[in-house]
Parts: sequence; C-alpha cells; structure tokens
Amino acid sequence: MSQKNLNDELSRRTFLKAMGLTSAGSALLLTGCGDTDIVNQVDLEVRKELVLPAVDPEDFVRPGREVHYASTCRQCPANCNIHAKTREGRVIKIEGNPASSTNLGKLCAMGQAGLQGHYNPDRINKPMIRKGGKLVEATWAEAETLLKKHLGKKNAKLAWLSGAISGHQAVITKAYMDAAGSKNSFVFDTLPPAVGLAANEKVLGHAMPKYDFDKAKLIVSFGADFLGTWISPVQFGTQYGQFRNAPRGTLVQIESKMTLTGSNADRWIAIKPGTEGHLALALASLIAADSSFKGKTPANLNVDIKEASAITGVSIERMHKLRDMLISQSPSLVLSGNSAEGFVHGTETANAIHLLNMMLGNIGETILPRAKPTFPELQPQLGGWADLKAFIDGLADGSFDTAVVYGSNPLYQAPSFMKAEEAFAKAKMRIAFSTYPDETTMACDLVLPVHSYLEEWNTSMPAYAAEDGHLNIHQPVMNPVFGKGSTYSYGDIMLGLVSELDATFKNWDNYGAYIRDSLATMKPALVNPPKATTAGQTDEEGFQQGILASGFVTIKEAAASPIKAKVPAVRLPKLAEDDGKYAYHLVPSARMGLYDGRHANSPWLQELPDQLTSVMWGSWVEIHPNTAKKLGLITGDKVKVSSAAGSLEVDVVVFPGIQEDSIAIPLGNGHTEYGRYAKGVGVNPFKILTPQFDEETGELATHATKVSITKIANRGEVVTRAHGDLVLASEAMSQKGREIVKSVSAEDFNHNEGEG
Amino acid sequence: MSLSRMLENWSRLNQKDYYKDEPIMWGMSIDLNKCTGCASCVTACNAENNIPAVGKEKCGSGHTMSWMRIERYWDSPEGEPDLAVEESEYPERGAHFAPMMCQQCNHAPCEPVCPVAATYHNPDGLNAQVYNRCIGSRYCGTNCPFKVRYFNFFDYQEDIPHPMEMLLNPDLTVRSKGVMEKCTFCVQRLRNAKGDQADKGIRGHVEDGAVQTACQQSCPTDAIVFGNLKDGESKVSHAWESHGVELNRHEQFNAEGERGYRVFEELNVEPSVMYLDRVRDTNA
Ligand code: SF4
Ligand code: SF4
Repeated sequence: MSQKNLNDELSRRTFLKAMGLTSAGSALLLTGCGDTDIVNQVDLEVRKELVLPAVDPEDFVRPGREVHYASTCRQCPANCNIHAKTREGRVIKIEGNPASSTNLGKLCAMGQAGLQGHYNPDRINKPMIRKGGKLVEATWAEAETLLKKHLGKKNAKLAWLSGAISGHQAVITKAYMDAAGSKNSFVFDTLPPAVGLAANEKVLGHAMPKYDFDKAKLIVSFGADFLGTWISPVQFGTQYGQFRNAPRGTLVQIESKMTLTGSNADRWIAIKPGTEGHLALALASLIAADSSFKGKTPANLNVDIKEASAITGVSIERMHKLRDMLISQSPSLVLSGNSAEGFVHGTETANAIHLLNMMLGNIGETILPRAKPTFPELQPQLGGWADLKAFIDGLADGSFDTAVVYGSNPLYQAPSFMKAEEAFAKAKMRIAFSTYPDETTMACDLVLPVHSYLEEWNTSMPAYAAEDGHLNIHQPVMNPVFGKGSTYSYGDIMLGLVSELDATFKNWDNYGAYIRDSLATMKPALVNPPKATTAGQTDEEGFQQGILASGFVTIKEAAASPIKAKVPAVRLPKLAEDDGKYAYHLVPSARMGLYDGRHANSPWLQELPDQLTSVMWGSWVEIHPNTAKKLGLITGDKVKVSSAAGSLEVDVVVFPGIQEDSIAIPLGNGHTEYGRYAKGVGVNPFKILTPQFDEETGELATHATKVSITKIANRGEVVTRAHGDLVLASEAMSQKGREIVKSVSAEDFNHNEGEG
Repeated sequence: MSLSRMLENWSRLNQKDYYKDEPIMWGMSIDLNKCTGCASCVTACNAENNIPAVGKEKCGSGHTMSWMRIERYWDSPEGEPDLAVEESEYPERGAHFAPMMCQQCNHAPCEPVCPVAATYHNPDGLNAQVYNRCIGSRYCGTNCPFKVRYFNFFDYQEDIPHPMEMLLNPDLTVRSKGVMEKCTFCVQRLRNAKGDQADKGIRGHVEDGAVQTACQQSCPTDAIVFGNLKDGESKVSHAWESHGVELNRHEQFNAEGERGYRVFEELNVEPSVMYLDRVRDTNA
C-alpha cells in the first residue's frame, strides 16, 4: 500500500473511530479487568518456544517448565521490550527482547529490578479513602462511588498530572479529559531533558532526532549521561558497544560531576557549572578561525578565548586540542545533557551546542531526521517541570478544584519553594492512581491501587525510538499478585470513567479488548502484520497472537525528510559573581539505579553500590579532594548543605570526579513515605533547589542552585566500612600496582584489531 | 561422597591438565574496552540467583551477598604511564571498571582447604559449592584471592516479606544461615542446556550460544562472552585464542596487540575468566 493510500485510510478521524468513538455498546465501570477473550490455540507441547499472552495462567502452568511472555519495561520512559520468564504462573526473571530495536535483548539494572517493584511488600492492594483526616482502607464499591461522584461529570476545574505517557494510555486519558471538558492535562517527569528537547524542536524541527553513535568518530558530550540516565540508556549502551569496536570512536565528556558516561570517557573535562555554552561557543569560534576548517561558519563568532578559559576553567591548550579533534574526527556528535541545560540560560547552551553540530556537518550524518508520525496521539509525552509548575500554580490559585495524579510523585520531587504540599492541600478532591504509598499518594483523599506494569494490558512508545513507528505491546505476564479484584489497571478504570461521559466507549468491557480492537483497526498501517500460523486459525486470531508473541508492532511511517536546521541565535549571559555566602554549585545528580527516586523502594537497587563512589543505601555529598582539604573534611564527616531554599545534613564522600567549585548530592533518597525500603533513608536534594527557571521554556533550572557547606560532625572514632550513615562497598581508589584493570592505547587497539 | 571418592575427585581434577579429556570447560571473556560499569549484570545476577539484599546495617558490617561486583579504581597499574591519571586535579581518563565474580579457577585455592569438600571441582571446570555439605568454616573465603565468596551470616530468605518471595527462582535453592555461596556461572542454566542436549541424545556438547549466563544476557554493551572453551568453534575460545590467553599457564605471553589476561594469574590459580585490556584514546 502506498503511503498516500495509507494516510487517506488512516486519517486521524478514522483512527479515533477505531478507538470506538462512533460505535456503541455497554460496559460497567471496573468489570472484567485483565480478562480477555483470546482463545489459546497453541499446543501445550510447543508452548515453551512461543511467546504467548498470559490470558489464563492456570492453563499455561506446566510444573517445572518456564513460559516466556513478551511485554514492555516501564521502569523508566525508555520503555524497553522485555521477555518475562514465568514459572508456575509467577514471573521470576525479566530479560530483554532480542528482536527489539530499542534494547536488542538487553536491560539495565533498573529493568532487572522490576521484579522487586512488582512483588513489593509495600504495594497498595486495597483502595483507600480519607476519612476524618486519615487514609483508611475501603472497598472497591465505596471507591467507585466516590470516583464516579468526582470524575463522572464534566468539570473544567479538573487537573490531571501524569508521568511520561504514550500509546493508548495517552489516548484514553485525553479522551477522558476531552469528555470531562477539562484542558488541564499536565505531564511531569524529572529526567527527560525538556530544555534540550524543546531546543531540538526549534533548531532541528525534531524534538527527538535519531542519533547514530556508531557512525560518529568522536562524541563530545556536554553532560549527557547516555550510559546512565539520559533518555534511553540501554539503546545508547548497545550503540556504545558498537562505537567502541575498531576503528574505535573517541568519547570526550565535559561536565562538572562525573557521570557513568563520564567515567568511560577517553578524556573527562571538568567544567565550571553553567559555562558549557561558553565553551561550546569558544570552540565554534576557534573552529571557524582555523585554516583547516572547510565548513560553513555562521557570522559573528568572536569569542575572547582567554576570557572563555577563565569563565569555564578549561585551559586554552585543551580547547585547541578539542578544536583539532572536532575538525579532524568527522563526523562527530556533540550532545548536550541535563547538567548543561539545567540553568537559566539552558536553552542558549543547547543552542550553542547545536551550532557546533551544524558547523561540523553532523546534522544529516550522526543526527538524523524522523518521519512525521502516522498516529501523533500515540507519541510519547515526556513532560517537564514547566507542567508541574502550572499544575501547582493552578491548585494554589484555586483554578483547579480536583487533582488527579498518575505515575508521578510531585510531592517528593517538587522543591520546597514550590510549596507543593500547601497547593495540593487546597484541592477539594485529590485522587491517586497508584501502585505504591508514595508521598503524593499518601496526601490524597482517594487512592486507587493500580496494577504493576507486569499485570496489565497496554501499549506505549519508547522515549527514543531506534526505528520510527515502534509501538510496544504490554500484556499481563501473570495474574495480579494480590488476586483478581484487588488492584485494577489504569486503563480499565479510565475506560469505565470515559464511558460514563462518552457512550461511544461503552463498546468494550475491558481495556485489553479495547486495545486489541484498536490494534486490529490499525492493521493496514502496520509493517508485516502477523497472519494465521496454524490451520484452523483465522487471520485475526493469528494477528492478535502474533503481536503478543513479538511484543511490539511497527507502524508504517512516511519517509523522513532531511533536517533543515535553523541557525539559532545564542545569547549567553554574563555569569553572576559569587555572593560569598553560597560559594558552591549543587549538582543534583541522577544515577542509574534509584533514578529520580522512583526506585528507592527496591532493596536491590538501594544495595547496588553507586557505580562511582561505591556507596550503598543512603545519601552522600561528593566533594573534590582539594575542596575537602580546604574545608577540613574527610570521607564520613557529616556536613550541613544549605541553599537559600533550605538545608540538608549529609555525609561526605571525598571524590575526585567533581569540579572543585561544585558538590554533588545524588537524587533518589530522602523519602518521607514510599514503604519500608525507602522511607527515612538519606536526603532529598530536590527539596533545596532554588527558584530559577530556564528563560525560554520555563523549565526548572535544576543545576543552578548554590549552596554553602558547614561541618557538623566528625567521622566516627572507630573506622569500619560503615561511617555513621555512610556505607561504602569499597573505599579502594587505587589498584596498588596490581594488574586488575590493565589498559592499552586506542592507537594500539585500532592497529591490532583492525576494522572490527 | 565418601572420603575416598572425594580424594579421588580432588586429585584427578587438580592435575595440571585434567580438562584434556573432558568435553566441556566453561569459560568467560570480559572486554573492559566495552564494559561501562553500569551494573546491569550485577542486578541480573541478583535476580537469577536468589540473592538477597541484606539491608544497610549488614552492608556496613561487610555482609553483602551480591555474587558479582564492579571493581572501580582510579589509577592504572604500574608501567602504564600513558593511561594513568595524569598530572591533573581530576581523573581525566575516567574510571577503571572490572566486573568481578568467582573466576572458576582450575587450581582453586578454596577447594583443598575445605574440611568437608563442600567446594570441589566438577568435570566441566566449575568450582562447585555443595550447600548442604558446607559447615561454614569459611576457610575457602579466606583462601580466595579474589574475595568473591559470600557467607550467609543470617537466614536472609526467612525474612523476605510477602509477596517478595514470589520472585525466587525455583531452579536453584535459597541458602540458609551458615553456608558459603558464590557465582556458579549460572549452573542451573548450564544444567538445563546440557539436559536439553541429552534429551536429543547428544552428550558432551552444547551448541555455542544455546546458553547464556544472566550477566552476559543483560549486558547492554556485549562486554561478556561465555561458552565452552573446549569447543574450538565457540566465541569464547576464539576470544581466548585471539587475545593470547591459554589454559595451563601461570604467565601469558601476549603477542603484540593481544589484550587478554587473567587477574592474579601469577598465583597459578588458573582462572576460567579472561579479561581484555581497557582502552583509552591517549590522543584525546
Ligand atoms: S532503560 Fe528504562 S525501560 Fe529500559 S530496561 Fe532500563 S528501566 Fe527499563
Ligand atoms: S552489564 Fe556489561 S557493561 Fe554493565 S557493568 Fe556488567 S559487564 Fe560492564
């Protein structure tokens, strides 16, 4: 089918029709959840080789045999495809789906720890209703009545906050909000780089272009932790593996706190925080002035290199070296990440980095365009702090009277200055769709316990699609942990809600059926939709079973047209002088593990030593050895870190990978709720961030906070591996001459290992 | 196992090249050029092998149980001046990572010291641990040069709060207080693969790639290669061969460009894990 026909046939209108907007039927709120009517056509004997829906686990249980189900990881917005290994009807291991272009059969530590979220002993398994100021357990009937009372009607003052959302969840949430007559939908997720994505959209016309790491001979990353927490770490990790084959690409990482990616760099460059844009412009200017540079130069690049060196703390010699590398190692890829963009001038920094890519001819080489999506409503919405602020402001000024939160924990993540608790308390009704008793959930009036991602039907799109049109299929891999009727899927509840207001949704009595119908209607728009495989199977059955077996489908997309980048104007501010009181920059660092705090309830991830400092459980502050010496601090001392917005008490780890004027406190801990593994462990640096926002996008300038440090206690007299609150897996910094990790030069490597 | 069988086993499998006659010898290769230190492997191992988190306090006493850990250093061994931390305030060449777990030594120092032969060598080259024979003397742990044996000071598995116990892998046991444990190269997966072959009437050969260890399977960068070193066609034996590491030596003579080495090889413990040199672009 030609693209034209396809688009005619599947215009947005017909797509919505596929969602049932024009048909009628009947449905009850909250019934039939998780059940499906797919008939199992597969011989039990061959089942192990097939990947099938867990429609009726009893039917599938064969003692001693493992059964694999294809589904999707939801531990972060990357949404990798998984194979869940089950035994006797329970999931016991999660692996990557080898056929997936997103993660190529691989997973990250957080994906591996998904089991501990799913089986978490602190999961909510009964609805809760606030009575007399306290949340008490209730029946689903009570919860449903209350839910209908507040959400079963039109309400322009309803506000809805979700975490990163895509696929049919996004569609059904939007359908509900439209039906309810509310325009107040917000999406908030902490780590997707909202400033960078907005700059991409403006300069490249694509918020999320494709990156070809492998093709790059040189990657210069300004704080993009693509191996750790940046957008899609497994996808980029697999690309990195290729990138390091001979001929081996070079990685230069420029940031103030060493990330996991930084620790793998061939050259790690410590930069004064907030001056990444200045360095990028200085490099652009040096490149433009170099006689060996053949590319195009945007006018007016006249940076005083000496001044730039003083501002950034990067030597002139180093800048010259970078210039030479960028000119000679082409194509390259210059990235900007959260730590470069988290300032008042974040967008300007991202633009300066775009400028470098444009000059170096990387656009169209390592930065590639995407097709215009056939179904824009399925695309991922990654959200940002501007949405959170709008949500909180609206609650504070009374524009909203009912607040609903799903997949997001704003009361933990919002800095104190936002006064999120106060604003939240003002709503007349607060409703959480939640799996865990997190801070936000526990402040609600009605708590609806929802399925874990391993228990529900769904579709989603990866934050970064390696292949355009990649739509993930989620299916329950086992019966709900707490039994049928204890938790429900978000989709089922939403379907019930939307059909209260919009009769066209009554056509389905459960969300799984809705998704299957919708996918069936999308069939002509899919690349190689599965067909019947066995005799007696209809094509429709074959299709439904086939997509569950593969775990994703690919939507046909028009060919991408080349990127026409617009040269951005870059206006970098003069940086404020130190005011003396708050002499240090605070880096609220995200790490692969606890992420933005959502995985603090996994004991494996709490106990996983931090990749760089080796701290387990708890929080710490990283301080450079020179700074520690100046302040008279050693590892294990307790200090008070104060900003204009608040203070924290935390243990010191003397750490070499941090710029001398900066200190870093990792994100993830300091929960006041969130179950036994998280509550009361460590501190939460989000809380002391100060009110500064990116001027262009209104996103919180997460890295712009300045702090002071005062020592409050010495490390304990007895030196053990646990110093006060600090637990280190190992304090060893040096190999002491032993050959544990040996190194060779890339030159030798390339010479000897040839072309890969 | 009677004492005489035990001694027989010990003397046979500790001969210099006992594996000459065995069809399978499991081995591994870890490429430090690719390993990013992300610890996906560590978590995958925890999930596969029923490894408990012991909590903050016990971590503080050094009681962690993870069979795999990522060693992280900031300097190079002596004699690699180009790649060591330069004269800088910062570690500008990044960190040095090495995933470390039981090296399945073929002259394992942990084996002969066990008073009850709870740790012994199996014909597939694995350093096996028999939990129900272990009396917890911990001699083996003391003797391990890699410090990769972990002792159950408590009954962690009894404290798993419901429903977390449901994630346990039924293919292997949970260990109770008083026994030593360590990486097994996912022996339950190996047994399964061998069993599948035996079902087809094939003994002594497992097709390369038919079985993966949990760490290997999860590793995003494909830094870990695992397989049968006795199978000349396997990826792992190619890796060993092309990187100049041979069994039955306590010193390797890498030809130019061969990056292979075994940690603490000079101790003559004959590890089954080969590492490949970390690489840095010294022109950067
Ligand atoms: S990157 Fe995200 S989606 Fe992928 S395995 Fe890790 S947590 Fe899951
Ligand atoms: S998963 Fe792979 S890259 Fe990550 S630490 Fe383990 S071996 Fe290294």
